[in-house]
Amino acid sequence: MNDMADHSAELKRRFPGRSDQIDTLLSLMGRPADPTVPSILIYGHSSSGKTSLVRDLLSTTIARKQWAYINCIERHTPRMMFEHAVNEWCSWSPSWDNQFTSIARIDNLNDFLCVLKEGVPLNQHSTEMIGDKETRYLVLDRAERLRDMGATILPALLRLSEISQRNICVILLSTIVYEKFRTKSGSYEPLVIRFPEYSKEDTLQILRRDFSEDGMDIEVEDKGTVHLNDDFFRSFSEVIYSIFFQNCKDLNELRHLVALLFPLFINPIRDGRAKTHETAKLFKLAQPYFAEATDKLYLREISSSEWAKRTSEMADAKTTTSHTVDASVIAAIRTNAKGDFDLPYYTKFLLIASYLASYNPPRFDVRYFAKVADEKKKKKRGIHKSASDKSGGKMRQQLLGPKAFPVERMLAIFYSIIDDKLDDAIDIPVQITSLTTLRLLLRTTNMDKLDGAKYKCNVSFDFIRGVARSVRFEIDKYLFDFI
Amino acid sequence: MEEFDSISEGCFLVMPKSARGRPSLKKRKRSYKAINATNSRSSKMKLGDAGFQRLFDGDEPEASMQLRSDSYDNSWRQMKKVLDDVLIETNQSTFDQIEEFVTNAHIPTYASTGTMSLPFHEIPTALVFAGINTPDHDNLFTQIASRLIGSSAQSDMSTPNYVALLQSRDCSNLRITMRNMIEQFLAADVDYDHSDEDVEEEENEDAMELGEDADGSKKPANDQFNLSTMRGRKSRLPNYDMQILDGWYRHVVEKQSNSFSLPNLVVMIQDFESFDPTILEDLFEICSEYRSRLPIVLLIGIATSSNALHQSLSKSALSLLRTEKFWLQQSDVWFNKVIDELFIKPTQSIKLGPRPYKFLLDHFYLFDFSIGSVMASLQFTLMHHYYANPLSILSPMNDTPVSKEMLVKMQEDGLLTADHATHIRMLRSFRTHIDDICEKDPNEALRLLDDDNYLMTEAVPRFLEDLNRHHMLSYAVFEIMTTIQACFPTFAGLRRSKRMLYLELLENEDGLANSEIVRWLVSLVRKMDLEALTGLLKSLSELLLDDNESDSSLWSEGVSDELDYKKKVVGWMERLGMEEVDDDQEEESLGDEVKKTKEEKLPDLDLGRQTKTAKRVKMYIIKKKGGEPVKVSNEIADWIQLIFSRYLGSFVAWPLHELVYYSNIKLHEKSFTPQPRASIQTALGQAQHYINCSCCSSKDVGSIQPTEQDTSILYKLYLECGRMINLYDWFVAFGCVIEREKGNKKVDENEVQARFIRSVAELQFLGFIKATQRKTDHVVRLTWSHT
Ligand SMILES: Nc1ncnc2c1ncn2[C@@H]1O[C@H](COP(=O)(O)OP(=O)(O)OP(=O)(O)O)[C@@H](O)[C@H]1O
Ligand SMILES: [Mg+2]
Repeated sequence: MNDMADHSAELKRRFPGRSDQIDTLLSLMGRPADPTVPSILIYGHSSSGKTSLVRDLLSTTIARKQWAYINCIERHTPRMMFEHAVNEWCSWSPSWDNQFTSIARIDNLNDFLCVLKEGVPLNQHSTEMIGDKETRYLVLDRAERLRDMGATILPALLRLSEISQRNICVILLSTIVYEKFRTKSGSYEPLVIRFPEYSKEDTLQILRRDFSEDGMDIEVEDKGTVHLNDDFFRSFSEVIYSIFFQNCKDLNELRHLVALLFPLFINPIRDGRAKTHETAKLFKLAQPYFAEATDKLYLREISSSEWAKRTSEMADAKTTTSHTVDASVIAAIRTNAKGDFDLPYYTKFLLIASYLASYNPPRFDVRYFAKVADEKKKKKRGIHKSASDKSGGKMRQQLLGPKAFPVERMLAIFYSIIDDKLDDAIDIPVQITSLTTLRLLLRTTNMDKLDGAKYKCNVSFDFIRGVARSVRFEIDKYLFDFI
Repeated sequence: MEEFDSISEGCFLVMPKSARGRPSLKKRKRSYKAINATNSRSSKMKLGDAGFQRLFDGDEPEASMQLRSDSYDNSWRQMKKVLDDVLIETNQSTFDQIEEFVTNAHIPTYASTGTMSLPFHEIPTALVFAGINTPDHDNLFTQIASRLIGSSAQSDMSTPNYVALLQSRDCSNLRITMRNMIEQFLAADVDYDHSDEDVEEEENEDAMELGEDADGSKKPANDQFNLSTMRGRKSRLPNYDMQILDGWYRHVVEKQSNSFSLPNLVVMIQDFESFDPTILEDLFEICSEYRSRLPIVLLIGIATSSNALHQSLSKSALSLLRTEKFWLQQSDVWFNKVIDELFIKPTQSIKLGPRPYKFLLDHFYLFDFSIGSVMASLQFTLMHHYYANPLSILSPMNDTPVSKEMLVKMQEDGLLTADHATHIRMLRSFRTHIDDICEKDPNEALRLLDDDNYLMTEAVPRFLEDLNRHHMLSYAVFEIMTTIQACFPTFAGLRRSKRMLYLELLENEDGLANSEIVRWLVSLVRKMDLEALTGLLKSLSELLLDDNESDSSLWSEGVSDELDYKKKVVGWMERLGMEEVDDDQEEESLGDEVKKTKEEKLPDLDLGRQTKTAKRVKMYIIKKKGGEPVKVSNEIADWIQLIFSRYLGSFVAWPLHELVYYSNIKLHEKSFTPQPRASIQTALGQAQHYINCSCCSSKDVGSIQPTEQDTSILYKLYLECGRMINLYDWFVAFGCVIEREKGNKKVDENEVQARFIRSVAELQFLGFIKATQRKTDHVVRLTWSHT
């Protein structure tokens, strides 16, 4: 029992803010041979520590072969799942030497139950019995995927110990609540443990674990080294927390940001622009990066390596005036926008035509696209009308997103907006297909329906405006009710 | 309606395609290949020589035909090499960068510069932006793949890589994707083999799992049976299990324990946009699960922009990746270089005439940006030229124009016949040439027309040589022109790209000689001030140096004084008191020159003696006076006016240009922009064009002959109908026409009906009509034409 207390204390130290959950789990497990609840569902936000805590907890408290860990995304078929579980329970790992064989062949739930009942023969003399004395654990991570494996698997797993008459505890880990698991036929309900969000204090504690315990030394230009201690880091992470916690509850993301911003934060200390204790000054210097990080880094518009590369490049090219450095770093970060792609001339018009077809109501096609003599009059009416509509009903297509259109309509628009006369070339349908593979158009009808295919245009207004500008087409004139 | 609904129902035959498909398909595939082989053998026998036939109604000597066929092979090989080389060259640096990225992907470098480690190790991912023409990517990605694999072979120091190339078409679900990936990695090592037993096993296991997947329940009756057979038996992992890859990798690493860098596993995802994003998310998740055990590097090919990535992947999947971006050259860079290499430069290959050239340009820029279709188009050009033109044996070969000796030899070998001479005389360019000279030199004209021998061995080589020299000179002048144009960057509106200038050169009757751009350039040069003039002269002399390196004979052989370009440029520079661009080099190349042309000797020596101070003094004087630059600029302007109008003439003026320029646009258009609808309409409406029978050909297009094809008759009746076609009326009308054929005797009702139904089905299949529910016994008419 003393042993148990040690474990629990150690775990609580490693996982700040999770002591209640650790206690609950440990008490549910009891001693190795105690019967347990048939199933437990642990749910909580992404990176709330489900996977790492459960794995740590099991590996510190019980022998390795007593528990099996399965990621349901990777083991996406029942066979992979069961075979892997049994392999782990028998300390067997398929490898080159054993020709990648599993210890037993288990094709479905039924085989699995048989194996549980009769044990796994390891060799002529010994058979591994599963769950006859000590409890075996089956951890299923990403358990929401179990729902896709067939209707019977999940209910059976939830009461596995009852069906198999063995001492087995199934632990499901998921980011979604149990209500979403329920099947129509009803099933045994697992015991639910929630991993709540961390408080500010917990978060800071966890963040601090990334920072080495006895601080760190950094080299400072011409003045040897300077020691950064825990408090320094704490004040840094507090600010990060206060900036980002509004829109980022994800612990991993926070750690990501901390790791990437910290080097920038201490840069001024390195080149002697600020002292360690001048936190306010440091923050002022780092402020522009933080602002940039909120959208670019967090949305991964810039990846960690690009960020690291650019910022370190900047740090290398040391400039004397602090202001220019920062400005140029920001500029460098922003130049990410490069790399828009070009389309062939007529393909651009096809895309424009699709956009028009997606966002204009068909009844106005004649008004916009008919090449008749009294074009002038019609245009006028169009402008007048759209001006009065500008106030905008709620049902504006612009707000509703693209509508599906038949190809014929789009082609009619296409032929009316291009200036030159085109022979009906074979390339047009080819280009439609290629726009579809590029996902600039989306086909809304099934592929097996060859007749009357419908498409949607999948590009933003800014994008299409760019395209239109490049071919000198005034798209604004042709859009109905756009702001 | 039901009767014909079923008739046109199609069925699709899907052949196994992937060479590394499932093992169970192997046997079938082998026989399939055998079939292919036999197929090609028999067709080869029939066609012989890749389908080349003897022309002149079969009178062409066998050897000539052979020569054409060989020349085609040769020239296509050469051209293909240029095309491929340019492609590799343009992307070389990006390839290098990617390779470097992969090599360093798992070497922790920046991790140490940052003071803290990231919360988890992201998968290093290269985003490769490859341009929008996805079919072209096959080639590029195989090249990247083979480079990544190849780098291991070159040196022991760099990290060897294993590569799996995934394409969306063989990754329709996660399981297949995984299997595909794992098999490709394992295939790199030969000693992993499937035994036959396994194959069977896998097959029935797959079947079982599919069943399981579908309903998830199993029949209890089976279980007892399974129990006795299956339990206790060890079984191999399914071939899409990541553990196999893991175990294999351990094995590989153990084997090569001597080298200290570990091989990377590169997973290439060629066409990101076409993948199902959920599959990719799962794949990334799995890879990330193994991040500590397997050094996986992802390489994602993106056709559009990184937006695509952000749109289709979830935030959590994105955060698994550590992306870096690489841009391959857009295909138009390649295209421009190719045009430069193949057409603008005076290479000894077939060139495109104005219309095929324009076709190529238009097609590329207006429609598809496709490298593949440019290649196809060029190959087709060559093929057609050598296939159908008996005179193609006189086209330039092996980098030289056909010389006199070669022609004499050909004649001795009996490759040239009277037919060839006749053919030459029928060429339009030849006839104009005769017209031109018959006044001035009637004897020569007569001789050309009468004396086969003279024509073939004397005149033809001379013509070809002239044409060749025209190419050289006009290329040189063309370069001067583009250089001069580049000196006026501010006049962007008037500037023309090289390819458009070349198009103009081809298209205009007298080339660029009197074109607007020439007038524009000349007038601009006239107005240049001293500073601009120096710049211009500098770039001109640089051009000169380039020329000297590559082809020194070009200018020194320059027949005429006007083109004694070097001397002039040097003279002008001197008068403006400019320092030489690069004294040594210039001197050196001048030295070369001295040996060749004697006239140049004197001014060169003068130049050598001139001291720098003298120059400076002169410069000063010039600045003071200000008169000299005006004079020089006028001279330059006159000079370029002269050379432009003399050497930028159209190729059409040269006799026998047909041997080098391919101008047959009709066939090209028909082959590359077919108009299926139009041909179907003609086939039905004027069937006589297609079936060559005399009875149906009537002058009156609209009339219906009873002798015609049933479907044609029905089609013509169809043309008279409105939007809705009453089937019964149509049938009756059809019956009347058929009756006329039988001499107005009653035809068996059943026969009429059968023929009617068959034709209706055909029209439906061709897309002329469609069934409708709106009106009973009616079909909808789908096409409208103005004929
Ligand atoms: N309370 C904690 N103390 C220390 N570290 C923690 C704590 N909670 C989470 N972490 C760390 O956060 C990271 C993410 O945790 P983990 O992968 O276990 O989350 P998860 O809940 O499984 O997320 P997901 O639902 O995305 O799988 C791990 O590196 C873990 O060590
Ligand atoms: Mg997890």
